Amino acid sequence: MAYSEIAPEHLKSISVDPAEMESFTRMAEDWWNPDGMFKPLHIMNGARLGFIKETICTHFGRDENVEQPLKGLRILDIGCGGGLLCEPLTRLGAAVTGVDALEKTLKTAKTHAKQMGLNIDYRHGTIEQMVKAGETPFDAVLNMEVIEHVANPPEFIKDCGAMVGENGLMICSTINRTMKAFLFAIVGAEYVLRWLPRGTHQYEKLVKPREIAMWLLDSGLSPEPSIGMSLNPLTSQWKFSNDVSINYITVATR
Amino acid sequence: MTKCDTHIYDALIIGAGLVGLTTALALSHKGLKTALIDRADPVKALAPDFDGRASALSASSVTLLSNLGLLPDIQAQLQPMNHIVVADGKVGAVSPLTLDFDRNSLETSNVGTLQNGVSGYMVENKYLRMALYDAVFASTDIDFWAPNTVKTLKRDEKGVSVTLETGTHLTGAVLIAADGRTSYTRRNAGIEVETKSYSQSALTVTLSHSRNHQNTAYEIFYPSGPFALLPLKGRCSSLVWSDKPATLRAALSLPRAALIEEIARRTNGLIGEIDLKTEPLLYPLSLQIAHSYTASRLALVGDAAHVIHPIAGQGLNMGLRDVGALVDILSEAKSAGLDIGGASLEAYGVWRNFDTRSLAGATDILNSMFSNRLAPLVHARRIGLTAIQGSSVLKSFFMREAAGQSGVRPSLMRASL
Repeated sequence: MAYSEIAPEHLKSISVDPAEMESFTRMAEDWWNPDGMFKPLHIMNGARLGFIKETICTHFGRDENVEQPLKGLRILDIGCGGGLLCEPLTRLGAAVTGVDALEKTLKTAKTHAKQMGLNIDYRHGTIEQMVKAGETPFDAVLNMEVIEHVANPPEFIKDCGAMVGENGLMICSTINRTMKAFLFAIVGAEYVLRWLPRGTHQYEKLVKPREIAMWLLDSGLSPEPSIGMSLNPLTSQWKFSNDVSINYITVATR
Repeated sequence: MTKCDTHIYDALIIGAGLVGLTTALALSHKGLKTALIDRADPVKALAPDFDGRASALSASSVTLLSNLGLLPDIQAQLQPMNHIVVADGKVGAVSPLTLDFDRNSLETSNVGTLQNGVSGYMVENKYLRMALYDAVFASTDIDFWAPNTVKTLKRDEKGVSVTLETGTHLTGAVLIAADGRTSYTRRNAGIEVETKSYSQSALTVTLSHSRNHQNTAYEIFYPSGPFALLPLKGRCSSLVWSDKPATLRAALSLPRAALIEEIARRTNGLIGEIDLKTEPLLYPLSLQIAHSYTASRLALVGDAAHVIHPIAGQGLNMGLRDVGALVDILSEAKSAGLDIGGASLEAYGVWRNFDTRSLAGATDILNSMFSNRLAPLVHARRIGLTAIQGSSVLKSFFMREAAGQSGVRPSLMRASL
């Protein structure tokens, strides 16, 4: 379903940056290609899913070792793209809603979920439209690799926060605005390794951990200290550490 | 076809050799359901004369088997190797310059987790196969489709589907090729192999002998190829004689007594009087490595992925490391809710590629260095042997490699769970 007459792609709004929409539209069909333009996300996916599963299970006192540890929990994935997180979380038992402003991307997501026999509630729209429509808040809200692409991050986080229910939590992951991140995540990934199309990330749109923490507080959530994620390019393995200088994750609870 | 004819699994494994059987068992230990498909009849594969070969097991491989609960079944058949004697030889004489890897060098080089100074074990394949069959048949997570053959095979975005000759339809998220060096599954996927053929063949046979082998493996480097005697239970050893194909064909055509005489000229009395315990087998030696360990929804394990020179006894060990790594990747993906045949499979190739290439390269260099008559090389290898003998760092590296302890170890290869 869509939330308004004007397609979100053309809305001048809090979430949507028209230039970003254009580049993601070009990549829409490539979401599930392991060697395609979203390869870095595929490489990161196991590690970040492990983190999401563990964090949600700990928060809600769930046993991680059962087949469907997230059964009965409602999860919202903001900027869900092709469904790289929605599908695994559905397999783990969660009732997942994925929202994305790009129709073409959602078409890829829906087609793929159908192929896999998974039932996922995909919404074409923006988070501010969901808030306005009075959507019931969720147990967990995922805000993964999205904030660095939106037009107005503080307002965006506020809207995301409004979708976190009582005793719920939000998980945000993004790239820090540091010289090291500029070298590795932009120069390295886009220009040297060519893992990402040039222009995928813009330095000035990157967000520092203390900025995200501040915005989370403003939206009524309690942020925990950020956790660093770093990639070993030789083994393609991600690991978690205190080093938040490039990629990091912030968990916030209500 | 009705719906009840379709069986759904996590993984479909083609090939129920030692590596295929272990893969199914290891996946079942992580809670994944598998179908194991083989064209050979398991009853025939259990006949005593089906496979007279023996394999070396590194400490890591034994840990894997132990973590799978197989140790009680095979423990009595594991022959420890406390010493590895490497010698440079001429037929009729063994060079006094030998490299003796014994338990003392292990203790002094501080290798650590090896028990009782054992650098590895030998086991006759038949005992390992029996223990694996028993465990596979006992598992409710494994369906053994044998004897049976694959009629159609399809890998696409949705998954893997196989129709068997008998009409049964099997589906899974990932296909595992464990169908050996000529793997049909690998060729069907269009994965090319890099090969280097040695102008050598290998003759393998189990010998019984009058002298105790004293838990020692002998590797004698003759100019035409390495000659290995690997200790088995009792007064028996497994012989791997690498030589020119013509020489071995000629040896094989000799009357039994004359063949024993030829072998005895090369064992040089190390193990006393000898006799043949099994039928000798001849096979060509080659180095073969698949260009890729994975394709869409497909992973290669064991000989389907790599065949190396038997000089270091690492063939089955490498296959078991494949199993350990693949099972970690698949079970972690499953636990994260991922499609186990999806993008995460590539990590298996990255993990195993480095290990395979370094070991394949090392055994290849070792073989060419020793199988040569050129005077400068003979000197170089003698100096080399002496240098290795004198260097505890190098020695501990060689020992660790032989014990399967280098690189990142899969979880099933870490100390008992």
